[in-house]
Order: sequence, then structure tokens, then C-alpha cells
Amino acid sequence: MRTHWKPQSAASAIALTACLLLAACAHVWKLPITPVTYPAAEKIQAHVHLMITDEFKQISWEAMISPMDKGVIRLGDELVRESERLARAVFAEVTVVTSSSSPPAAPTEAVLIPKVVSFERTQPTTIFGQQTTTLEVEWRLKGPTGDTLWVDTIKGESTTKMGSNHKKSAGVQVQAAFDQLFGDAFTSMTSSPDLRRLAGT
Amino acid sequence: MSRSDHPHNSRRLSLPLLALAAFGFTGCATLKLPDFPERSVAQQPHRAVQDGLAVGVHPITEASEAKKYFGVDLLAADILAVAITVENRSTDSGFTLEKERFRLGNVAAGAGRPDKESGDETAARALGTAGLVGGVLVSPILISLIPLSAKMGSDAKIIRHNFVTKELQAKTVNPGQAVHGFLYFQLADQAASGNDRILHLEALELRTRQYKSLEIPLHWERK
Repeated sequence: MRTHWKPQSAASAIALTACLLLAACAHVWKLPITPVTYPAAEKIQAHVHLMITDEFKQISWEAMISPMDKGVIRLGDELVRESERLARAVFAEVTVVTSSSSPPAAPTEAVLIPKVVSFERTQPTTIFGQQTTTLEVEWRLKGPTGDTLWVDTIKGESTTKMGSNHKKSAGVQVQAAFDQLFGDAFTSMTSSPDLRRLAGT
Repeated sequence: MSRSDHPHNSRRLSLPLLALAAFGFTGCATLKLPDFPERSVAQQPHRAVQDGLAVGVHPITEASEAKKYFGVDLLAADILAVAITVENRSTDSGFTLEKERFRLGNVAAGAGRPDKESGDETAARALGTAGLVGGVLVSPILISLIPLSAKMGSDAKIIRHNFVTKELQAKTVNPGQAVHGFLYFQLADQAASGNDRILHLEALELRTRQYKSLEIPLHWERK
């Protein structure tokens, strides 16, 4: 029996193949980020809400790492976890709230809102080139009326040779950027006279 | 000795290979953009001081300087990058800086200060919409999308990374500290103002909860 060529079937097949090819070329790297160690310091005697927004939870970087391959780094879970550790290291009492949480029952002095300002990576043209990963987070403390009480934007940055193993170099760079970002955020918060004054400590 | 083992033959082969390798490495060399030197307020060509807040600025107006630090001639695309240094010379309060509170005004428009030190949000908004049309704050991500030169093809990611990570972000400047960063303005209404502008900024003094306003005149020769 002779089969007839159907344009619709061919188009569907091409679309399906394209989808499969595209899906197969996305490399989602789950990077094993080690928690940051904070030095011992006198905590700021305040009860703050740590506001985790949906945008913060879903932060990711993605780019074509070769003509056929896309690299994807999702950092939301690690950022949320480390932000809570940082807040608990700085403030005496912390309640984590999300955008969808019901309004807080207990009164608080302030709300700490982290926001990723940039998550950027360079792409050298060869594996011998230097690659830089930069992660910038804004930390904004708002009062009960919504006015900004304190704000700082902290940058974590790391440069290494890209090498042939993209995931490995990404892991090294992101970990170093993470350490610098959260370490410097801790220093900025604990050394701020205005934050101490707000809490009366 | 066979013909292929002759030393002259291997030299003939190695020279083109070396040349090819040199060409390849040069062609693939990663663009390097040096950090702009962090200067004190006193070292900046334009500056103003008020109530413990000192601000110095350096507009990037020469093509060679823009190419050196950003990889592209920004002013050719009517984008003015301004290097900013802010020093907190007070002893007891921080100042918060927000890039949205920096504005570039026209000298000809005669935009004066708004309700100075009042912290009045309405006055601040009025400042942004009335008299200040000399330049619009522009996102570094948008700048990186402008095809500024042939460089944008191969080195686009490095140029974009540099734009984004050098931008002045929201900061609290603690007593005795200084911060540095760049702001980018899309120049407008050049016929009206030539190359004279006024940079207006407001910083919130945390102790008093009042805004301090500063104005810094800028002038440059377009070459």
C-alpha cells in the first residue's frame, strides 16, 4: 500500500524532534554549595521578618555554553537557606515569611528583604580563558511603615580558568562568590552603627 | 637520514604552525577591561560637600577612556557614564544612596533643588519630572544591548558583565567610609544644553531621616 505524505504530520514530527533536541541540550547544574561559616558576634537585639520573595527563590543563570548546549544554574534554594542562616547569625529573633504567607501575627521591628541585583558570568572563547562569576544581592531593612531603615548591596565575585569541565568551574566560582557575598553581608550588618541604634543595642 | 627527518623540513613545518597558533591565540584572546581607579572625592574633577556628605564625580567623556574601561565608545551612542565617589565624613550617622535619587539635569533648564532636606517624596518626584531632562538613568543591561561596536559580537558578555557589576547600587555609607560606582545616563536634549549638565543627588541621613541634596555642575568638551 502506498502511503501519502502529509504536511501536518511532517511538521509535527519536526516540531517534536526539535523539542527533544532542545530539551536534551539543557544542562541543569546542581551545585553542591557548602554553608558559610560566620564569626561569633553580638547579635542585634531585634525581631525581624526575613521576607523571601518568589523572585528570590527562582533566581537562575542560563546561557549557551556551546552552539548546542545550554548551561543552567539554579541558586534559589541555596540563597534562601543561606539568607536564613545569615539573618539568624545577625539578629536575635528571625521569622521567615514568604510573599504568599498570611500577615504576621507577632509584631516585628523590621522586615529584611533580600533581592538578587545581578547573577552574571562571562564566557571566554576558549577553555584556557579566565571566567568570572558575579552575584550581587541587595539587603533592605524596612520599618513597620514600609520606609527603608537601612540598605546595602553586597557583591560576591570569583575568577578562575574556565577549563573543559564547565560544571566544575561553575561550582568553584559560585562557592567562592557565595562565601564572599554572605561573609561581607554579615560584616556590613553587624558593623553598622545605624542597625545597632535601631535595635537599641 | 630520510627526507622527512631533515632538520630544515621540521623547521619549515614548525614556523607556520607557530604562526597559526599565535594567530589563533590572539584571535581568541579574552577581552580584559581594567577596573576604574577608585579615587577619593578630593581627586575627582567635580565635587561637592555638605553636612558630612562628600561627593566627587568623573564623567567618562573621552572615547579612549570609555574604550579602555568599558570596551566601547559610550558617548558616541549618547550615553554618559559617570564615576561616583561618596564619602561619609560624619561621625554618627550613615547615609543611604539609591541610584534612582541621582538625576542629570540641564543647566539651561535651571532646575533648582526641590524642598531641600525635607525628605518630601512629592518634591523628589517633581524633581524627576520637571526641569531634569538632561539625561535619563539607563540600565546597564539595556546599554549592553545597543550595538555600540563590532566588539559587541565576540566580547559582548564581558562588556555586559562589566557594565552591570560596576553600577552603583543601593548602599548605606557608614561614618568614615567611602563607596564607588558608575551610573549611566542616556543624554537627551543636547541642542539645548550642549555639554553642560548638573548632577543632582539626594542621600538619606539615617539618624535624622532627612534627605541631603547636592548639585554638581559638569562640563566637558566633545571631541
